[in-house]
Amino acid sequence: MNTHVQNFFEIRIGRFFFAIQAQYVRRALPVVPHIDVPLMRPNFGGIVLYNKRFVPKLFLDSLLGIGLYRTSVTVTTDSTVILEVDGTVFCSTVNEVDTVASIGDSHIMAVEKSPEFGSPIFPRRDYLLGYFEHRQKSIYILDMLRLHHDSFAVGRNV
Amino acid sequence: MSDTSTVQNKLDVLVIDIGGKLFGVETLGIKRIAEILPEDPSVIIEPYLGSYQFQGGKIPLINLANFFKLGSATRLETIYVLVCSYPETHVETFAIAASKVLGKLPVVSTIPLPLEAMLYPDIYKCTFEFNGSYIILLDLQHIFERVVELVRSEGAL
Repeated sequence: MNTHVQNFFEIRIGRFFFAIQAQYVRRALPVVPHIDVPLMRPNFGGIVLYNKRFVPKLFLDSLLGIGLYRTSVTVTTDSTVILEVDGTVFCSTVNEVDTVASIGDSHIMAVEKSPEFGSPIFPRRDYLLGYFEHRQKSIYILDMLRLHHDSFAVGRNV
Repeated sequence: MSDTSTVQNKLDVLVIDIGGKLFGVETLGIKRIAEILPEDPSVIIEPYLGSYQFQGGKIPLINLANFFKLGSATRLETIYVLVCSYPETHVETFAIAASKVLGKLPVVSTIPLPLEAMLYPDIYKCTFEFNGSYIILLDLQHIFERVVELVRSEGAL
Protein backbone atom coordinates (compact mmCIF):
# COMPACT_ATOMS: atom_id res chain seq x y z
CA MET A 1 0.00 0.00 0.00
CA ASN A 2 1.38 3.44 -0.95
CA THR A 3 1.54 5.94 1.86
CA HIS A 4 2.13 9.66 1.47
CA VAL A 5 5.52 10.73 2.85
CA GLN A 6 6.37 14.18 4.17
CA ASN A 7 9.81 15.63 4.80
CA PHE A 8 10.27 17.23 8.20
CA PHE A 9 13.11 19.35 9.51
CA GLU A 10 13.70 18.40 13.12
CA ILE A 11 14.68 20.90 15.80
CA ARG A 12 14.97 20.93 19.57
CA ILE A 13 13.78 23.72 21.82
CA GLY A 14 14.46 23.06 25.47
CA ARG A 15 13.53 19.43 26.13
CA PHE A 16 11.00 19.24 23.33
CA PHE A 17 11.61 18.11 19.77
CA PHE A 18 9.65 19.62 16.93
CA ALA A 19 9.23 18.97 13.23
CA ILE A 20 8.74 21.66 10.63
CA GLN A 21 7.52 20.72 7.19
CA ALA A 22 10.65 21.09 5.06
CA GLN A 23 9.06 23.48 2.56
CA TYR A 24 8.98 26.18 5.26
CA VAL A 25 12.70 25.98 6.08
CA ARG A 26 15.12 28.05 4.03
CA ARG A 27 18.34 27.55 5.93
CA ALA A 28 19.87 26.69 9.26
CA LEU A 29 22.83 28.81 10.31
CA PRO A 30 25.09 29.16 13.34
CA VAL A 31 23.46 31.67 15.68
CA VAL A 32 23.21 35.04 13.96
CA PRO A 33 23.34 37.99 16.39
CA HIS A 34 20.25 40.12 16.45
CA ILE A 35 19.68 43.84 16.76
CA ASP A 36 17.15 44.91 19.37
CA VAL A 37 14.19 46.86 18.10
CA PRO A 38 11.77 48.42 20.57
CA LEU A 39 8.05 47.88 20.28
CA MET A 40 7.91 44.72 18.24
CA ARG A 41 4.83 42.53 18.21
CA PRO A 42 4.46 39.92 20.98
CA ASN A 43 6.98 37.05 20.90
CA PHE A 44 9.40 38.89 18.60
CA GLY A 45 12.88 39.80 19.80
CA GLY A 46 14.85 41.88 17.38
CA ILE A 47 15.91 41.61 13.76
CA VAL A 48 18.60 39.56 12.08
CA LEU A 49 20.53 40.46 8.95
CA TYR A 50 20.12 37.63 6.46
CA ASN A 51 20.94 37.80 2.79
CA LYS A 52 21.34 41.61 2.88
CA ARG A 53 17.97 42.21 4.47
CA PHE A 54 16.55 42.22 7.95
CA VAL A 55 14.19 39.48 9.05
CA PRO A 56 12.33 39.44 12.37
CA LYS A 57 13.33 36.97 15.05
CA LEU A 58 10.44 35.04 16.56
CA PHE A 59 10.82 33.50 20.03
CA LEU A 60 9.30 30.10 19.33
CA ASP A 61 9.72 29.00 22.93
CA SER A 62 7.65 31.93 24.16
CA LEU A 63 5.02 31.41 21.50
CA LEU A 64 4.78 27.72 22.31
CA GLY A 65 4.65 28.39 26.04
CA ILE A 66 7.80 26.43 26.87
CA GLY A 67 10.08 29.37 27.69
CA LEU A 68 10.77 27.97 31.14
CA TYR A 69 13.13 25.50 29.58
CA ARG A 70 15.58 28.12 28.36
CA THR A 71 18.98 27.21 29.80
CA SER A 72 22.39 28.81 29.76
CA VAL A 73 25.32 26.60 28.88
CA THR A 74 28.84 27.44 27.80
CA VAL A 75 28.92 25.02 24.87
CA THR A 76 25.94 25.67 22.70
CA THR A 77 24.42 23.85 19.77
CA ASP A 78 22.07 26.75 19.12
CA SER A 79 21.23 27.62 15.56
CA THR A 80 19.32 30.31 13.74
CA VAL A 81 16.74 28.78 11.44
CA ILE A 82 15.49 30.90 8.56
CA LEU A 83 11.85 30.19 7.81
CA GLU A 84 9.46 31.33 5.12
CA VAL A 85 5.74 30.94 5.46
CA ASP A 86 3.23 32.45 3.08
CA GLY A 87 5.85 34.82 1.67
CA THR A 88 7.01 36.08 5.07
CA VAL A 89 10.64 35.41 5.93
CA PHE A 90 11.50 35.26 9.61
CA CYS A 91 13.90 33.38 11.85
CA SER A 92 14.06 31.64 15.18
CA THR A 93 16.88 30.53 17.40
CA VAL A 94 16.60 26.87 18.36
CA ASN A 95 18.74 24.79 20.68
CA GLU A 96 19.60 22.16 18.11
CA VAL A 97 18.88 21.24 14.53
CA ASP A 98 18.69 17.64 13.50
CA THR A 99 18.22 15.70 10.31
CA VAL A 100 15.44 15.97 7.80
CA ALA A 101 13.19 12.98 8.40
CA SER A 102 10.86 11.43 5.83
CA ILE A 103 7.76 10.29 7.64
CA GLY A 104 4.80 8.46 6.19
CA ASP A 105 1.37 9.83 7.07
CA SER A 106 0.49 6.56 8.75
CA HIS A 107 3.16 7.23 11.39
CA ILE A 108 1.72 10.59 12.36
CA MET A 109 -0.50 10.40 15.43
CA ALA A 110 -2.79 12.74 17.30
CA VAL A 111 -1.00 14.92 19.85
CA GLU A 112 -3.35 13.66 22.56
CA LYS A 113 -1.80 10.19 22.21
CA SER A 114 1.65 11.44 23.13
CA PRO A 115 2.86 10.13 26.50
CA GLU A 116 3.83 13.70 27.43
CA PHE A 117 0.43 15.17 26.65
CA GLY A 118 -1.08 16.63 29.79
CA SER A 119 2.27 17.39 31.39
CA PRO A 120 2.32 20.72 33.29
CA ILE A 121 4.73 22.12 30.71
CA PHE A 122 3.72 21.14 27.22
CA PRO A 123 3.83 23.04 23.91
CA ARG A 124 0.62 24.86 23.10
CA ARG A 125 -1.71 22.28 21.62
CA ASP A 126 -3.16 24.69 19.06
CA TYR A 127 0.23 25.04 17.36
CA LEU A 128 0.73 21.29 16.92
CA LEU A 129 -0.56 19.26 13.99
CA GLY A 130 0.40 15.87 15.38
CA TYR A 131 3.42 13.94 16.45
CA PHE A 132 5.54 10.97 15.44
CA GLU A 133 8.18 8.84 17.05
CA HIS A 134 11.66 9.08 15.57
CA ARG A 135 14.81 7.60 17.10
CA GLN A 136 13.05 7.02 20.43
CA LYS A 137 11.88 10.61 20.63
CA SER A 138 8.46 12.17 20.37
CA ILE A 139 8.59 14.83 17.66
CA TYR A 140 5.77 17.37 17.56
CA ILE A 141 4.80 18.78 14.18
CA LEU A 142 4.44 22.55 14.25
CA ASP A 143 1.46 24.12 12.54
CA MET A 144 3.47 26.75 10.70
CA LEU A 145 0.47 28.35 8.98
CA ARG A 146 -1.30 28.89 12.30
CA LEU A 147 1.90 30.06 13.94
CA HIS A 148 2.52 32.50 11.10
CA HIS A 149 -1.05 33.77 11.15
CA ASP A 150 -1.10 34.36 14.90
CA SER A 151 2.32 36.04 14.91
CA PHE A 152 1.92 38.34 11.93
CA ALA A 153 -1.78 38.82 11.22
CA VAL A 154 -3.58 38.80 14.56
CA GLY A 155 -3.54 41.23 17.43
CA ARG A 156 -1.92 44.21 15.77
CA ASN A 157 -1.38 47.08 18.16
CA VAL A 158 -1.97 45.01 21.25
CA MET B 1 10.74 43.54 0.80
CA SER B 2 13.70 44.99 -1.04
CA ASP B 3 17.36 44.56 -0.29
CA THR B 4 19.83 47.29 0.53
CA SER B 5 18.77 50.44 -1.26
CA THR B 6 20.75 53.48 -2.22
CA VAL B 7 19.07 56.68 -1.16
CA GLN B 8 18.45 58.89 -4.21
CA ASN B 9 19.24 62.08 -2.34
CA LYS B 10 21.45 61.37 0.62
CA LEU B 11 19.83 61.72 4.00
CA ASP B 12 21.33 63.97 6.64
CA VAL B 13 20.88 62.08 9.86
CA LEU B 14 21.48 62.98 13.45
CA VAL B 15 22.56 60.07 15.66
CA ILE B 16 21.07 60.31 19.13
CA ASP B 17 21.13 58.17 22.25
CA ILE B 18 17.76 57.41 23.78
CA GLY B 19 17.88 55.47 27.01
CA GLY B 20 21.18 53.85 26.09
CA LYS B 21 20.23 52.84 22.55
CA LEU B 22 21.27 54.70 19.41
CA PHE B 23 18.75 55.90 16.85
CA GLY B 24 18.85 58.16 13.82
CA VAL B 25 16.57 61.11 13.07
CA GLU B 26 16.57 63.16 9.89
CA THR B 27 17.96 66.64 10.43
CA LEU B 28 15.25 67.99 8.12
CA GLY B 29 12.56 69.18 10.50
CA ILE B 30 14.83 69.65 13.52
CA LYS B 31 14.78 73.35 14.31
CA ARG B 32 16.76 73.52 17.49
CA ILE B 33 18.87 71.37 19.78
CA ALA B 34 19.22 72.49 23.37
CA GLU B 35 21.28 70.97 26.17
CA ILE B 36 19.15 71.21 29.27
CA LEU B 37 20.57 71.12 32.77
CA PRO B 38 18.71 69.20 35.47
CA GLU B 39 17.58 72.35 37.28
CA ASP B 40 16.26 74.05 34.12
CA PRO B 41 12.57 74.91 34.68
CA SER B 42 11.82 75.07 30.94
CA VAL B 43 11.45 71.32 30.77
CA ILE B 44 8.84 69.10 32.36
CA ILE B 45 9.56 65.41 31.86
CA GLU B 46 6.52 63.15 32.05
CA PRO B 47 6.20 59.42 31.33
CA TYR B 48 5.12 59.99 27.71
CA LEU B 49 4.37 63.64 27.03
CA GLY B 50 5.82 66.48 29.05
CA SER B 51 6.44 70.04 27.92
CA TYR B 52 9.19 72.38 26.84
CA GLN B 53 9.10 76.16 26.84
CA PHE B 54 9.86 77.32 23.33
CA GLN B 55 9.46 80.76 21.78
CA GLY B 56 7.23 82.05 24.54
CA GLY B 57 4.91 79.06 24.62
CA LYS B 58 4.84 75.43 25.72
CA ILE B 59 5.23 72.62 23.20
CA PRO B 60 4.77 68.88 23.83
CA LEU B 61 7.95 67.04 24.79
CA ILE B 62 8.04 63.33 23.97
CA ASN B 63 9.84 61.10 26.43
CA LEU B 64 11.02 58.66 23.76
CA ALA B 65 12.90 56.48 26.25
CA ASN B 66 9.64 55.83 28.04
CA PHE B 67 7.72 55.23 24.80
CA PHE B 68 10.34 52.71 23.68
CA LYS B 69 10.47 51.14 27.16
CA LEU B 70 14.17 51.95 27.48
CA GLY B 71 15.97 53.62 30.38
CA SER B 72 13.82 56.68 30.91
CA ALA B 73 15.03 60.27 30.94
CA THR B 74 14.77 61.85 34.37
CA ARG B 75 15.29 65.29 35.80
CA LEU B 76 18.47 64.07 37.50
CA GLU B 77 20.60 64.23 34.38
CA THR B 78 21.40 66.61 31.54
CA ILE B 79 19.20 65.94 28.56
CA TYR B 80 19.07 67.15 25.01
CA VAL B 81 15.85 68.59 23.70
CA LEU B 82 15.33 68.52 19.92
CA VAL B 83 12.59 70.82 18.64
CA CYS B 84 10.88 69.39 15.55
CA SER B 85 8.65 71.23 13.12
CA TYR B 86 7.03 70.02 9.91
CA PRO B 87 5.13 73.02 8.51
CA GLU B 88 3.97 71.10 5.43
CA THR B 89 1.98 68.67 7.59
CA HIS B 90 -0.79 68.98 10.16
CA VAL B 91 1.58 67.87 12.94
CA GLU B 92 2.23 70.69 15.39
CA THR B 93 5.67 71.70 16.61
CA PHE B 94 6.89 69.32 19.27
CA ALA B 95 10.13 68.28 20.95
CA ILE B 96 11.83 65.02 21.80
CA ALA B 97 14.17 64.24 24.69
CA ALA B 98 17.45 62.42 24.11
CA SER B 99 20.23 61.39 26.48
CA LYS B 100 22.99 62.35 24.04
CA VAL B 101 23.50 63.76 20.57
CA LEU B 102 26.43 62.02 18.90
CA GLY B 103 26.58 63.97 15.66
CA LYS B 104 25.42 64.32 12.10
CA LEU B 105 26.26 62.04 9.20
CA PRO B 106 25.20 61.56 5.60
CA VAL B 107 23.39 58.30 4.87
CA VAL B 108 23.57 56.98 1.33
CA SER B 109 22.52 53.37 1.84
CA THR B 110 19.65 51.97 3.88
CA ILE B 111 18.08 48.59 4.59
CA PRO B 112 14.33 48.28 5.20
CA LEU B 113 12.94 46.94 8.45
CA PRO B 114 10.54 43.97 8.53
CA LEU B 115 7.58 46.15 9.40
CA GLU B 116 5.20 43.20 9.56
CA ALA B 117 6.71 42.34 12.96
CA MET B 118 6.36 45.82 14.43
CA LEU B 119 3.62 46.98 16.77
CA TYR B 120 3.60 50.38 15.07
CA PRO B 121 5.02 49.92 11.57
CA ASP B 122 4.93 53.62 10.73
CA ILE B 123 7.29 54.82 13.48
CA TYR B 124 10.40 53.43 11.81
CA LYS B 125 11.73 54.40 8.40
CA CYS B 126 14.67 52.08 7.78
CA THR B 127 18.06 51.10 9.14
CA PHE B 128 21.49 52.37 8.23
CA GLU B 129 25.03 51.35 9.03
CA PHE B 130 26.86 53.15 11.79
CA ASN B 131 30.18 52.14 13.33
CA GLY B 132 29.92 48.56 12.07
CA SER B 133 26.38 48.01 13.29
CA TYR B 134 22.94 49.11 12.18
CA ILE B 135 20.71 51.67 13.79
CA ILE B 136 17.11 52.57 13.16
CA LEU B 137 15.98 55.77 11.51
CA LEU B 138 12.90 57.08 13.34
CA ASP B 139 9.85 58.69 11.80
CA LEU B 140 9.31 61.44 14.36
CA GLN B 141 6.03 62.71 12.93
CA HIS B 142 4.38 59.31 13.25
CA ILE B 143 5.93 58.74 16.66
CA PHE B 144 4.36 61.99 17.84
CA GLU B 145 0.96 60.84 16.52
CA ARG B 146 1.32 57.43 18.20
CA VAL B 147 2.35 58.97 21.53
CA VAL B 148 -0.60 61.37 21.45
CA GLU B 149 -2.94 58.44 20.66
CA LEU B 150 -1.44 56.44 23.50
CA VAL B 151 -1.78 59.24 26.02
CA ARG B 152 -5.34 59.95 24.86
CA SER B 153 -6.27 56.29 25.19
CA GLU B 154 -5.05 56.37 28.77
CA GLY B 155 -7.18 59.43 29.42
CA ALA B 156 -4.23 61.64 30.31
CA LEU B 157 -4.72 64.17 27.52
